Amino acid sequence: MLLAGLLLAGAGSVLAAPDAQTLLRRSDLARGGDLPGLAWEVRLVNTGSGSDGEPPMRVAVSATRVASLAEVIEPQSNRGSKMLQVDRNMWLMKPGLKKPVAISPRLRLTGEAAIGDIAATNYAKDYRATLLREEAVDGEPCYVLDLKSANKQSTYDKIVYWVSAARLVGVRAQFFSLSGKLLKSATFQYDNTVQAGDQRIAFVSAMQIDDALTDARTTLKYSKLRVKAFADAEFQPDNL
Amino acid sequence: MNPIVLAWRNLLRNRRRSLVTLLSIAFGIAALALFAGYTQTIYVGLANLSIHGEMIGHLTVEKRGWRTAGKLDPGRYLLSPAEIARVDAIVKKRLPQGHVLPRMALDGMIANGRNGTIFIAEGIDPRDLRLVLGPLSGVYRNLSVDKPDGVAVGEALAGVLGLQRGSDASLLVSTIHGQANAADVEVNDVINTGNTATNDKFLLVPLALSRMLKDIGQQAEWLTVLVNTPATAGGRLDRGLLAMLTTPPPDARRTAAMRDRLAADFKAAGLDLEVRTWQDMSLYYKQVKNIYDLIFTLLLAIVLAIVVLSIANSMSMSVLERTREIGTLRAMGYRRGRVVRLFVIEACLAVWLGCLLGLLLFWLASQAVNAAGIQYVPPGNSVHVPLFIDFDPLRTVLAMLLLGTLSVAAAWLPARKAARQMITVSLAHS
Repeated sequence: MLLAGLLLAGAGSVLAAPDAQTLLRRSDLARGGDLPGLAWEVRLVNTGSGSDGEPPMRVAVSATRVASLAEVIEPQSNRGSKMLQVDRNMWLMKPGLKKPVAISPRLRLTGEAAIGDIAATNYAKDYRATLLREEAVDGEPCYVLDLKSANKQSTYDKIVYWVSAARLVGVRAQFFSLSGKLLKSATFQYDNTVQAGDQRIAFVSAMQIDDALTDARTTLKYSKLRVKAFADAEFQPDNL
Repeated sequence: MNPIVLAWRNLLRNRRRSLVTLLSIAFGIAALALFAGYTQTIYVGLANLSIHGEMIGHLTVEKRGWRTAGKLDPGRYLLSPAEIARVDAIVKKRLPQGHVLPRMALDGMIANGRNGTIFIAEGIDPRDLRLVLGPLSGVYRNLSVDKPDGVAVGEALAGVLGLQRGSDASLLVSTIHGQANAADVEVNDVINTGNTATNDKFLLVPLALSRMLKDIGQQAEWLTVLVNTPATAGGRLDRGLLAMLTTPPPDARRTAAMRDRLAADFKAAGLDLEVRTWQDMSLYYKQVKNIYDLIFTLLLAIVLAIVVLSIANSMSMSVLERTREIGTLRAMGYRRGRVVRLFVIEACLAVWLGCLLGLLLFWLASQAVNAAGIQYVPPGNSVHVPLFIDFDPLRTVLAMLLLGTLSVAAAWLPARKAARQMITVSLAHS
């Protein structure tokens, strides 16, 4: 009886501490990780010394589990530019180019491609999570996860991710280089909702991304969210 | 009478004409010697600039294909630590005094906390850097052995980001696999790359730091081979620049022979490596040398033409005026050959004296120019170099021989013609 009680107590404590990888997968859902097809609009504003006078951008995004396509609506000067991401490959297509341009990892260090890397949704696939500690962010209790890259292909070798204990969404993240130097930090808000099968789940509504090496700051606002079905052909570089 | 004394006396008979002949030879020789001496310093300077300034060293060793296919897939063309050790052993057998320096290239973004811009860098160990800099080592601080995160920044790049010695900055690069990597660095020195195209992008980074940033362990992208320990200039810029212009590099043919020998050794050891000399690597040197060689040849032709014509003119006038004298000498029993020899010796004397005077003029002019300390900025460069004239014995002697031979021929032809004339015609000449 005592043994059973001890066993139960042990099992209970195992249940109380959540599986870090499961947490990660759950938090991915709120950023589009597991939905078959989704479309939304993003309003992007860059501030900082390197972006004086840059007008805000409006981008229409379509995404599946493995690919996403972003098309610029505003400003007029960039209208029609597209960025395609399939797994870990990225291409840029602009009206006037004969073929899309493959974006090398080096080009992803700064600019819109870097933002694309951060707004990516599938952490569970590329990272292995371990639980570091519990911490509150803006009064909200969170699990702090240490995400280590599962391979040498992810841009950021390590991410520290604060996942809300109650809402199971990632509210804060820090992105580190291979050498352990902080490169970017981001915060996320989830005031949108989207229909996923028979549930309504919370979805990301805003992101703030701060560059740690310069004073650049990017804010993203997500709106006009809707579930959509896409053909595979829409996410191929030849069809851009 | 001593023929030379006779020749001298004959020269003195028309002092003004003889002086003009002498001076035209002297100025011709001086001009050619000055130009040859100036281009000599340019060749030596450019050679040393390639070897020491651009840090190419004497020979470069790399994996076959690194320069072409390796640009797209660098990971496959790196030299492993084992390969580097084997190359070192092979080189030391051939060149006991030689050095093998592992090298890397790096590029990415450099940020000062507010903004960032692109950089291109070379990774080299601070000790190896001093070796390869040769006469220029110690002049600038560059990289310090005791500062593993100290980098040297190009002047214009430092200006753009507001960096100085002691400033902090951060480097953001992609590793060989495509991951983002970064490091905090301190500006150890601000350097002038000497080239306007790279001064606003260039960094010198310690090898260990660049290896860490690119995540390549102890590998290297290429190896620089020095055939000996280059002489330094005590760390003084003026002496260093002068040494760059006057200390010739190891003989080009010997270096090329060493390249072929090492290439064969590597092949025999099963290493698929390419070896190049600094001349193979420096297209600029070859192009500039070709152009200056062409200009020298052109100058030589022009000076020869002018001087020889002038001498031919004065010699033939001299012969003409002395027709009666020639007739008299022939009537006295002088053979034709002896008459011609008379004039040839006169021409030779004029040539020798002219050459001596030319050398003296050259010496005076070069001393004056070198002492004046004139500085100028060569094309494409951003550094002042001193205008220095060295002595090029080979080409100066060549010029003297050519000039001398042609001048003597210019005297020989009219003399021969006059000596052939009938004695009675010569004597009747007024």
